Amino acid sequence: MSETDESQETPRAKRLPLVCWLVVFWLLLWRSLDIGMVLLGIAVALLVVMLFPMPRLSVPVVLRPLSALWLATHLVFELVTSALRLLWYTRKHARDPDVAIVEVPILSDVDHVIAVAANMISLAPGTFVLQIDRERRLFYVYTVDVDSPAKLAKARRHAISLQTKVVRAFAPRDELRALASMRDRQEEAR
Amino acid sequence: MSILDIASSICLLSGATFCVVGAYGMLRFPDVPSRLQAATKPQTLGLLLVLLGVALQLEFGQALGLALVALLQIITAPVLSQLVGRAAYRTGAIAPNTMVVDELELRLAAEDAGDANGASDNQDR
Repeated sequence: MSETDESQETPRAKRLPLVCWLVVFWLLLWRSLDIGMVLLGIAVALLVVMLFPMPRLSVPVVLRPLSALWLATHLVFELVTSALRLLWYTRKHARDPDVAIVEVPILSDVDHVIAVAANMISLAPGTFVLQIDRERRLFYVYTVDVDSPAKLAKARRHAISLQTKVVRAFAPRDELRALASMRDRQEEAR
Repeated sequence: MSILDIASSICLLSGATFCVVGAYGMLRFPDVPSRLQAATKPQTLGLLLVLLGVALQLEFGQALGLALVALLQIITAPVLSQLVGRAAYRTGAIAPNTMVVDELELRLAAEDAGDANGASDNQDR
């Protein structure tokens, strides 16, 4: 938790997006746009924000709409392929699966980006994040269907490419640049 | 039967099929983490398809409520698999003969042998 400062709460104005989202959430739950419902929603949202103050995020949340849209489409694709792959694998190898726990470097140093990346990896085919080492920036990813070193390397690459997409969508600009330069180094190494 | 009806019945049926696949995997896999795989992924997709199938039959405002269900499912399923998976790992609920490589164990073993410092910072995660 290097970026949050528990002693300092989010300033009032910064809480506005959260209040708006809670009102929208409330209206979706009740599926009504009654003026009474809206007022009640605002009251509940304010109450929630006051009762459960969130720690301040020192790194602002960035959103690149195009990259986020690409991430969302990719998420659907991941879900479908992971379900199909698991179906195939269940049929053939479920009694004696080959699993591994793989160490994958985390590409970001921002808490919310790491959280989204961990979620994405956990929705991808045959993998989920078992342990997060925040300090050394390592994911420990549980992987099914790795009977050869090649498949192990593939699982690692897959987790990294997913993270790349998350970083492109949500991470601050300097991390994006760091990612690009890392890519370049890798290209040169090849 | 309109095209909408056909589309929504395809969604409902395939969604239900994916849920069955998840249940089948639950029965077949040997230990907690691999069963978790089977339980979370096909089931998430199955639920999304069922929701889509139902949403096609509803008015727009009503269908938006279902979008909320889908969102919460996508956000919470990975969190659940991480927590349950980690608990399973720590209590040794992974069938050892299925494990090919365990880099977490290698790391923990290295820490036990080396500094006690690193091991203790690992514990509160």
